[in-house]
Amino acid sequence: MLQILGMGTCHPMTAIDNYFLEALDVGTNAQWIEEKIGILERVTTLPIDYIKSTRNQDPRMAREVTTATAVDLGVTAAERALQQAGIKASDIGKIIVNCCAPEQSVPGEAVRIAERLGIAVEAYDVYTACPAFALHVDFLRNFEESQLPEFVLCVSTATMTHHVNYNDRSDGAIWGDGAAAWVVSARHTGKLEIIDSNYTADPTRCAAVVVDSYQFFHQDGRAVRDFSVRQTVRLVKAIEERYPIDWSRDIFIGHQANRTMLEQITNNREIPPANHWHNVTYLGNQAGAGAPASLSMNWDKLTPGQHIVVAVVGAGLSWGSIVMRVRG
Amino acid sequence: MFVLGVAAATPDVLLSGAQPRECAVSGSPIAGRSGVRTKRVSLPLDYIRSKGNADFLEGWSVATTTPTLLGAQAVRDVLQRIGLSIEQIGLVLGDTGTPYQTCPSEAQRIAGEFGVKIPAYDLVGGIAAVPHMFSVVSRWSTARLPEYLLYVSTNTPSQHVHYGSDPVAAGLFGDAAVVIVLGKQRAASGPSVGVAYARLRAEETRRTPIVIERSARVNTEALLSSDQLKAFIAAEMQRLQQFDATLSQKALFIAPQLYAAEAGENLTQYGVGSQQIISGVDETGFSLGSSHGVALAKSWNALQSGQPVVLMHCGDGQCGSVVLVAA
Repeated sequence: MLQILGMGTCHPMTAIDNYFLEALDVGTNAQWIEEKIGILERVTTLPIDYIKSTRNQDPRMAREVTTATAVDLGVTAAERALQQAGIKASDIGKIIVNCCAPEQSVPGEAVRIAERLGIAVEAYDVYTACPAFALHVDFLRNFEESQLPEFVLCVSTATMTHHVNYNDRSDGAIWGDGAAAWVVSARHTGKLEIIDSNYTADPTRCAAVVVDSYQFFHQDGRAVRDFSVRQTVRLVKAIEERYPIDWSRDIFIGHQANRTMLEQITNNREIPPANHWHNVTYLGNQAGAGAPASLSMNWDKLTPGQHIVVAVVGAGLSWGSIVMRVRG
Repeated sequence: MFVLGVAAATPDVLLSGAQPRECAVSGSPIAGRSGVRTKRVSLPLDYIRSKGNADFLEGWSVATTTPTLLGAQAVRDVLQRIGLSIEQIGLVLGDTGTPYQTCPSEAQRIAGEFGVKIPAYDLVGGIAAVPHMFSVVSRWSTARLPEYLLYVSTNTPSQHVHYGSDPVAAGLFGDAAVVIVLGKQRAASGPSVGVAYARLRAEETRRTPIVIERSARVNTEALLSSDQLKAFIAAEMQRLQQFDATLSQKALFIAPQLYAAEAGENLTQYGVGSQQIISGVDETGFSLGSSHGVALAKSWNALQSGQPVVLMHCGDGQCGSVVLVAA
């Protein structure tokens, strides 16, 4: 059985609040943003003056002015995960990475993160955008356990604000930058046992969410929102039917798309606010990093016997879930 | 796990060593080491001549195909040949080094071309893509494998080449997609090839000989020297001989494609006949991770029962071999 031994996150320090977006005068205001998507702040690797003066109208410039790259964020998150797992970078035998906004397509982000960590190991990208946490866990469960190294490092990182058109009143309000990392092992005991996972996709709807390699993010907002709520509810229901989930004890973590969407899901499944871990309110949608970062940020609150239910959705359209149990 | 079918697709535009005259395409040492004679490219010749593709975004606007369309073309071809329908595929794995979009994944875009609901994600292997995929998937539990898995590696690096100013890249890169269908069981009819051995391992030194950002570049300082390539071939042949001492007499060899011609010459010193060495770059150009697959597709129909195919890779931080055996 796979176990998670440690997790880490990294987020940039520059915050974009709703009043900043209101001041851009693109037809939105702070109250509307809060009511519609429940996000109060999001964090960015872009200098705030750059956003103010250019609205990021040429996303290629974002790469020139950024204060940190997706690799920078991923490396820091990885170092924190390694520290929490109590292992050294040299103990890692494989790195897999998900990144929605790579700086280069060859070599991959995993190769560059391995290089920065100073380790010569198998390193490759396993990629699906937002449901990366579920994909990576499910992907590793494909392997015969004897074929996995002692420790695997998973990283999901993205600088999505580099692809935001800040003249668009919706997109600027959604996205934040961030990375999460987690150390997995089939042979060593960790705090979290992975009981189950799944991942799948409906590529007939792959045009619903798109990030052009050198241009902007764009999506069919309403369709994606409806899909996200319905599909997450389905995932959670399926888990409730198969496992003894008790929402007075167990924890739900969804895709950190926006808080109002998450609240629709928790209301539907009668999950109390205290058992719903999220970080979107002050970090924004960090793509595939949001859900694992939520878990990482609550690591010290994990209680033995508790189930952690992760249900994530995203571009592709794709979705997946993980059921974990906190070890006693 | 069995390989049930392989197909490659390339664009129609052929760029020979002398074409286009206005562009600085000659004098690329790596093109010589790889053995690239002609390139298949997805940019109109007139555009290359007149603009040199100085701005790749302009190149995208005039390109004759995209990685997704090229990949889908190869998928249609292979499925028709082996008599499977897309609905029978249980998983699509994608790979590209030249995505038009970073989201959704290439696998999802290609599956989207067929209008089917199917698990799909990218397993990105860089210039080692095909051997890397075999190395990964062969370690999966059979119980977790779908009946049929479709792997697509598709790359259009020509669209990132500055033809007017980068003779090294201009002489090397070409475009191709390759599709490999894997199955849990061997095919009821037609050839099936078993995966007998598939292991890539980390090299002591991580190298980035190819960089694709806005432009496609050859990082000449990170290329293997001839001595280093020779040492890899020697060590790998020793490993392979331990696996099967008769490989050099009977197998087809697909050498590290960035150095295909030079590695091929090295292989002949181990008793491998020149007719046993298959290049995926000589007529197509170096299409990143697709190149091994182009060579595999070339050799597919000629495979004889029991004949092994060896795919070798090295020089980007990982190295090793895959041995496929025709059943």
